[in-house]
Amino acid sequence: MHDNIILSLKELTKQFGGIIAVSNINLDVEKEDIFGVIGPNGAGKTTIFNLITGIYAPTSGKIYFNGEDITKYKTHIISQKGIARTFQNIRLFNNLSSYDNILIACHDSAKYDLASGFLRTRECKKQEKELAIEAKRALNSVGLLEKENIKASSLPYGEQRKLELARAIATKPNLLLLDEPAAGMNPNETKALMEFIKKLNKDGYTIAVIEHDMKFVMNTCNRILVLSFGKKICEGNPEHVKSDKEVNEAYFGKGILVREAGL
Amino acid sequence: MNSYWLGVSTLAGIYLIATLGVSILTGFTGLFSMGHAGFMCIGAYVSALSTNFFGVPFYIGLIFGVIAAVLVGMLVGFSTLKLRGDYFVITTLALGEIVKLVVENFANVTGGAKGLPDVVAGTTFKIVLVLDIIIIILLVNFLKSKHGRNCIAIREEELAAKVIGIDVMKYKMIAMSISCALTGLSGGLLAHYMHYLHPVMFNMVKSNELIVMVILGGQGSLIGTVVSTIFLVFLPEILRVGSAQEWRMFLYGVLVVIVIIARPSGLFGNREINLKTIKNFFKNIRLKTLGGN
Repeated sequence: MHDNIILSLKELTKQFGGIIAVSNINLDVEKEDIFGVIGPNGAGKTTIFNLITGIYAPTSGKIYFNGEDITKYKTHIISQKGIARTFQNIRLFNNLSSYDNILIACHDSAKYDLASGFLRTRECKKQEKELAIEAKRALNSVGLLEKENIKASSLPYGEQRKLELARAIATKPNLLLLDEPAAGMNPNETKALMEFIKKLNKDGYTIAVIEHDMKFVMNTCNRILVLSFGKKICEGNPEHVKSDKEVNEAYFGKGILVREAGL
Repeated sequence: MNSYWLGVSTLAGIYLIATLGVSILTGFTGLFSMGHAGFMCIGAYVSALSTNFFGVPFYIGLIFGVIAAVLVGMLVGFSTLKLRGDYFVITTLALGEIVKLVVENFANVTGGAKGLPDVVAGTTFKIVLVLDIIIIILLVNFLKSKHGRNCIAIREEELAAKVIGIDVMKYKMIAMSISCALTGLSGGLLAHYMHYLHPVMFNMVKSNELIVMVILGGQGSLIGTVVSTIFLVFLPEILRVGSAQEWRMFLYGVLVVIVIIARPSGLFGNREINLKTIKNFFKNIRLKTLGGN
């Protein structure tokens, strides 16, 4: 195993009864890369994210993160190891303020125990103060500081996506899994998101992203995995994927080459 | 204050301890329990029996009661909290009934359906008041800490809580233990206040009452739980006048329904009253009266 591989899937398979959602996937994601996962609906993209984050247990195969076998780990342990994700349908703590949403994600840096929490000891107060500073900084980095007291569910859609992304970053991950971050965004918002993701990447985050917006994928990702019916049909850089015959067939059907359609 | 109202206040204080416990579990962690009267029952009988048979002082009895309730609660929690929410509701419902049936059928120890007379006295209004204040302070601290916020995160969105690194099972167990400890304590205090125990005191109606008090006050508001508990314990007593006497339980039900229709998220929603909200309240009034100056 190379030192610069952050995430590695080995013959990963997930079956739901008779349906094979993910079939025998092998994949290496390099450190500080932006990796795209695309494919038609039902290809198993989100299932792969759910397998990596331990929400589903794989039927067979292994998942390695920084060389460590995390296949059997529980979701919260995987998060503590340094994998964060966002969801296709946003999952925020809806009745809490934006600030609290971020604050809870920062919790790993506070180490005080349950008893000090009940008694609100000096140690607890000190660590709470540090948490507050950390949370405010994280909110500020996505430009939501002036909305810190607004309930998450009352934020406009684009800002909810931002908040979820900020919450994922607040857990201080090495690897960030984004499930359709541009869904429902207008072209301007998508463009801003692209810039933001590239900036995160420059700051040292490795990013894997599922996205339907081809322009987005082709412009941000260095490598792309194409799935269809749970199988890997292509992997490579954007140019390679664009010209691949099987990819075109999966999207547009057999016999026609529609390279002009913007793929 | 005459002894009658002192008695009602003591009862309200005792029930408040139980509803605060249910509030942590249902209001703040989002787990519905339909059998918490069962934990009150465990606390009450363990405390009463240990003082009656082994002659330990009543506060040691209370501690035994709390420990017993927590142990049973953790056992139930460990086996059911991994399941989806509805199964937890069903198990707690069953547990409440099981505890009642066990008490009824071990008649030679517990007195069975005849009840357990001559429980050692000990609970006074002062003790209950001091305990209430201590418990409220501890719970406010807990909810302001990262541990309390983790519980709230689980109520809001369990999967998201897991994904940001919260050990959901651990925090559900913590919430379960806190709620069982408090309901157990409440049961013990009740035993030493009433001097008499009967399994019917802890039937499903009592469990429902605890849940109603929490929901009426607003899920996610401690002050809401306090206000609604005091309100609901006093209400049937206040209605005990003149011709309202015969209708008091009916009126009680109607009033609860009206509050739920008028304020679906409870009296207080998930708001708390503290220095900050009071300051903001007065600030808003000042802004309105001075026209924005």
